[in-house]
Amino acid sequence: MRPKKYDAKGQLQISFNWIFVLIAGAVILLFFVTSISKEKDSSQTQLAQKASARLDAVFAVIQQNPNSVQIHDAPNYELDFYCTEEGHYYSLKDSSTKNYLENEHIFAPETVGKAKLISWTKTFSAPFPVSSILYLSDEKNQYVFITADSKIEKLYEDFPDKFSKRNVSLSQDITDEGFRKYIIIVAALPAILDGDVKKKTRSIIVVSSETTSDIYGYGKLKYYEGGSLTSIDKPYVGQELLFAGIVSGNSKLYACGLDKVLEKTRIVAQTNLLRTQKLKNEYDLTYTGRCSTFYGLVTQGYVQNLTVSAGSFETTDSTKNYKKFYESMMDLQRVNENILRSDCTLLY
Amino acid sequence: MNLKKKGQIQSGETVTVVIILMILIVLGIVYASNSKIAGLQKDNEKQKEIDGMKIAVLAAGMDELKCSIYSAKVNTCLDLYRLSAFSETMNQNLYSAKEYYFDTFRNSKIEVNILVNETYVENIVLYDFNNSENKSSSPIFFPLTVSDPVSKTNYFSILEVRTYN
Repeated sequence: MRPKKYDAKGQLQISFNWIFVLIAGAVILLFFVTSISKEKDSSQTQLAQKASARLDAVFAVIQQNPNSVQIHDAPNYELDFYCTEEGHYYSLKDSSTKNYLENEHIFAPETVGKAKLISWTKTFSAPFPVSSILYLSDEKNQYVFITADSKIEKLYEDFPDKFSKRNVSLSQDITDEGFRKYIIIVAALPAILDGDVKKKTRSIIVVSSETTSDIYGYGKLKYYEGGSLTSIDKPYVGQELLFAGIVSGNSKLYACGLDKVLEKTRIVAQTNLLRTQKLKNEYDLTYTGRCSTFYGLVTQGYVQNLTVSAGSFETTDSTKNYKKFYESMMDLQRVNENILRSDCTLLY
Repeated sequence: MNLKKKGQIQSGETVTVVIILMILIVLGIVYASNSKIAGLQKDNEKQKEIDGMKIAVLAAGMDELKCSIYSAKVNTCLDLYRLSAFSETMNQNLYSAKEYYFDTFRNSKIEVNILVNETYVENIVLYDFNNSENKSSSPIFFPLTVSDPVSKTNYFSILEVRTYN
């Protein structure tokens, strides 16, 4: 009996050791499996964060270098820009992480990346400085200017050389050179636009300027997207918004950025209205009345007109708030020139 | 009896090893989590400082506060009347200005201390918003010039930023 009992004890001890080894092994295995799966999950998020951090760094550098064009190293990922009901955002291709561009004034085409990035900054003024606009594109987006019209030729000359740009005399000269997208800028919709460039890779922008002497005055950008024969019209005022519409090459993305620029314009206009009121009060008390007259013009209508028209920029043709916006800008510019001549404190 | 005792001793040894192993694992986990918490706290402090610096740079570079293009001869020059008007726009939340700038400045306080003379410092609060329970970080100071366009006087000023994130 004794050896049997001894065997049973030994077996019990051996099984206990094995059970312990199994449990410990399972725990260790579970730990590693969980770590690896977590690592896998976070790698995608990390890449998205990296892309976001890099873009933030680009924005920060650009903001310190106003009115400059820069070329940045090619990232090994692609970013898609969206303008939906959720807002204006970008995300890594095939990633669900959305980086919202809440009040960054960025104008970019639908996709950039896996090619050298090109950035350009300009200060949008109305006419006082409102914000730094960032134009972002890459070498794979080509801007084709049909320069048969002198206004488009002017646009071509003023558009920075660092962007992938090309000028052609006729629409038939546009050929597929392997770019991701072709943004075609033209004065009137060309009758023939077959060529090599597929409808889905092109976007035609008809620049319809309503100021005869100056293309940078105000007007409409007529977008013919994805081969559509009906246009989506978006207004522009000034050079900064005109180039914003061109760089975006997409009516929705342009409209998203435009809304944000106008929202800020209203706030900045309000700040400038209060500033002018303060200047008027100061001059009323201590200086001659000549300066106060100028400030009075500004506080009694010019800024309000600008704010109201910026509030509903995109309206029907009969209202043309973008025209009113331009006229208010011109009024303010004229007053500022008079103020400069009269040696009073400038509006901007 | 002897064998039984030996078996009991061996089982006891295994149990002791298991207990010691468990204690070591628990100690390891506690140590690792403590060092991770300390690291996170350090990172959090560093992040607060970076956030503060970012906000200071953004605020000092705001186009809407800059001196007139004709009068600005110095770097980082802000217009005294613009600062005052901006502060008023923010206080009255005109055109939802607070909500608009919240996306940039988040939970923070931005003020400009203008050293008018040796005895008087004028303070203008540009932005003050905190919807969190967090305490403010140590302030970040950023030197700049504030220009009075009427008297044409430049003042040495300090931009002070505190974050609550």
